[in-house]
Amino acid sequence: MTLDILLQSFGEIFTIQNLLYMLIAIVLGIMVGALPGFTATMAVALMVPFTFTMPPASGLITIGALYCASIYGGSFSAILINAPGTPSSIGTCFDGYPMAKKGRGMEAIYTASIGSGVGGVFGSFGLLFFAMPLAQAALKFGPPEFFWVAIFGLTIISSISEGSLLKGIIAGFLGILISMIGNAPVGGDMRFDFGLVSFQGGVEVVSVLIGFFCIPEIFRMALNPSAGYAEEGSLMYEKGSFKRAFNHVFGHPLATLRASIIGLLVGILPGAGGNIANLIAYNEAKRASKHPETFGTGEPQGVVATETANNAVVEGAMVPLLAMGIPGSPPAAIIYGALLLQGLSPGPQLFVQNTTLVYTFIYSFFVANILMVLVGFLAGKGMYKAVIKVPTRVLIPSILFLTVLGSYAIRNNPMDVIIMFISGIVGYILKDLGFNTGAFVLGFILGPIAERGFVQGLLMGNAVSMKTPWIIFFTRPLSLILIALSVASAAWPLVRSWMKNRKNKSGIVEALEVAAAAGAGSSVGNKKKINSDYIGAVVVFAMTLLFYFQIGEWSKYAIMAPKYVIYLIFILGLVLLFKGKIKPELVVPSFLSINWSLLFVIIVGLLWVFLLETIGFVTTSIVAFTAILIAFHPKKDVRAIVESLAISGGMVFLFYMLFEKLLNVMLPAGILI
Amino acid sequence: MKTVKRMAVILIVALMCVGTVFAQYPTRPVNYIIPFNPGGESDIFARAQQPLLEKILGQKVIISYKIGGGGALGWAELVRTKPDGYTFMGYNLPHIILQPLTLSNAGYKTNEIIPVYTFMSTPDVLAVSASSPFKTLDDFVEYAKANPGAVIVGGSASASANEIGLVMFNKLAGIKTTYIPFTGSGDAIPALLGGHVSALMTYTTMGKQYEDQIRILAVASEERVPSLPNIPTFRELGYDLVEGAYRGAAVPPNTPESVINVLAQAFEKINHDAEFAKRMEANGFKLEFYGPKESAQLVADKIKAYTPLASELGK
Repeated sequence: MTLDILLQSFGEIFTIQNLLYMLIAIVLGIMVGALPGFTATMAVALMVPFTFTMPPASGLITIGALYCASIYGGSFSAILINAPGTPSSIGTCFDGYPMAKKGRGMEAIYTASIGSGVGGVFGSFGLLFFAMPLAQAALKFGPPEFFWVAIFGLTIISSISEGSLLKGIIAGFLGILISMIGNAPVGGDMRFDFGLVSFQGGVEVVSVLIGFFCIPEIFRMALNPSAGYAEEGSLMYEKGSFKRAFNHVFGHPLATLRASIIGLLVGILPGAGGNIANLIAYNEAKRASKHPETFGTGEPQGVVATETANNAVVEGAMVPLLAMGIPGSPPAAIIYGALLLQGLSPGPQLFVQNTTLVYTFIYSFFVANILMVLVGFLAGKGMYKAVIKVPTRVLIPSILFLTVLGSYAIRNNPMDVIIMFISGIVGYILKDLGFNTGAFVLGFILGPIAERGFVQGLLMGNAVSMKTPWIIFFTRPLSLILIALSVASAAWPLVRSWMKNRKNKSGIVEALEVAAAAGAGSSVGNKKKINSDYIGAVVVFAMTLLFYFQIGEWSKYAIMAPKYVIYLIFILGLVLLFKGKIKPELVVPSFLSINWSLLFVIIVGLLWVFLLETIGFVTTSIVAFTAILIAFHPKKDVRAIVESLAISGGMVFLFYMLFEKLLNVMLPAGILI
Repeated sequence: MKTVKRMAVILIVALMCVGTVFAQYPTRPVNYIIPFNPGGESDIFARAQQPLLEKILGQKVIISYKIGGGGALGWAELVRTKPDGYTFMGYNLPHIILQPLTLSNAGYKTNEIIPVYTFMSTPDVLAVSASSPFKTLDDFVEYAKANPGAVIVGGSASASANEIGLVMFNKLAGIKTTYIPFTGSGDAIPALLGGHVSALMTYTTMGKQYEDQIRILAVASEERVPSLPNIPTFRELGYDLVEGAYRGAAVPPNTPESVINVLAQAFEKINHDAEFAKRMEANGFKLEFYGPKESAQLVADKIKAYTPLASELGK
């Protein structure tokens, strides 16, 4: 590349017009990303028609900036309300939200911002220098490799399920089972639709994410609606947030680099994106950490890992797009379509024919990532202030409203809203029983990739040998590497705890721990304890039976994976039953003690999501919103009612206009509105 | 109370009906729903139609997505939508025929999808990677004959125009191949370039797009397609294979004929727009000009062709 092109490409970016477009895209992207349920894919799809009126370079710069910013914006809602704004920020919830609860929300936002910027810039370098070789390498991944990639991802379960590994594994497989609802990847059979047309599209991952992560937090807030957002007196930590955040990212250069590389590489793989990259990066950060036990309790390194990785994914996804014309992620697929309509065909020939344009696009990622962080500092601060200033009693219906809106907007499907809220209740109960919801989500996301790789791989194997088609999974060099990685990853937490035990755990320490656990138990001893293993096993058996009897006359390759998974879960359920007999895990489940304000929120929420379609979005939202506001208002006078109506009416109207008029999301009209 | 409400509803509905008859359709924005992912063939085409459609109809055209079940989720909703022409949806062949045929619960019947216009098609192409030993279709057939089942052909989805095209070709050539469905036509390309499948049954759009990296052995259209002038048709090579996906717009049953005609004329006009046609053909789309009646006939013909093959899909 000559200096000429470099200068020309850079010059293209720094025109007032292009910088302005970029800025608008970044503001929009951050907003959209921060709204749970509104993903980067939707943001990019909405923006594309506007770019047709722009020159090609401006259009590309705008879309690129929007993509980066919306992935980044997802971290805000993850940190502030425990709702991943996009699936790329799942892992950010694990530590970002606990940080916010401890009064370190601003620090978490700064950390996510700087991490995102660094990840994005690193990804841009990767895109600039290694696009061709990386894209070539990605092609080596065929169906068997994707199967093993998914298995590798699933091994993360062993390190995130803190309490019980067995329950973590069961949760993971239940996630896989739920992910099988809808079209079979091979054969196309409609599976587990329970006779409902709404289930044909499968269960939407974003709805489940919002339900699992955000709804239980709303319930916890409802238990004590007069409490503050963060822990009492913890807000003094705000001072020096930026400096600490800077340190989190640049003080651990190796950790940041590792997360960036993971993001870039996963982004390049077509079919794997930010949702997987951020979890792998989180896992690796935890594994490499000297104090892995702090992860999940507000460890800034967890935030650095996920946010750095997910922004490196953006540029990674551009690698196969620009180098071979293969879109590496759903938003990249839309960019691909936009390029076609501009009369450009992405691929090697594009580099030759439109060199300046391609390099302008690549360089624009550097600029966008830096600009994005600067805008994000302001936006993040604003959102943070808003969340901590708003009293919890108002926060409860507001967040609930956002979850309803977001889970609907993702596919315009009222069933998704119902599933969102139900998974929230299920998630709340499962957590009490010691099942890790993170493991469930992991299975849910990776299940389809694993199944597709498995059946497609078997079909490939059939072409080699009809008798032993499965052998293909063990003969390809890249598969063998992935198998080794998976084994190492699954075994690592076990090895680690074994080594730790041998090193410094004398019998006395262990005895003390047992005593402490017993003491903790006795302090709530007057409440009824239940054997969570037995209850868990009952849930598992109920699920397996429910799904087993839904299996119909499906084609061979559609029935294979669900059957194996159901058998496996059933066996794991038996093991759990056995374990409950010899070494029961006793818990005092909070859902058994009746709390009226929680019950109220649950009932209002249920009515809301079930009546949404028939009665209408606006009416149900205003009624439910107002009801919760009034119920939790300290005073019950006319003023309280008027105030509540004003808040809910204003919120609903604002978002109704935003979605219906600006974003073109048609909200359910129902009988009323 | 109940009767009052019922009366009110009837009155409103009646007024709306009267309104639609008298006012010139459309008087407010129309919704154009794509039952597939953004970025796919249906979406790309609709996005290109959008500005022209807005100009002709004089109203805003809002494109949104209703994704799931390979289109089935969207179509199941379409047949339950108010038939006033303000909501229409992309429709695809063979999907709307094969889904009700192969699924026990597609959620709609083929005859409930009322095509307004069928504006384009993407014929099947059989392609191999540029470095493949198969230089011609004969090479491919010869090898497949000698090694039954060993040739892996990728394509987009199960019970799709790609799979049915391959099933038909297997019959015509007397060969046996292994079909692997991918999540979309775009997903199948890396599998071919990476050497995980030996060939792809894909669409002309993909063939055009990856022209430099793949070798197209034949195209399953009646005549050669303008964007791929050097590629022979299957018919030229002695196989009577004409197959592909057709795409158009459809409305729910009982939509007034006047509304259907307004939309049909609009889509026809867009296809005749020289600049639009040039751009779409350059991307490998084949423009089609099936009006409401011709589209219905096309669907009827395809039902006859597909029904006997349905049992052989997904094998």
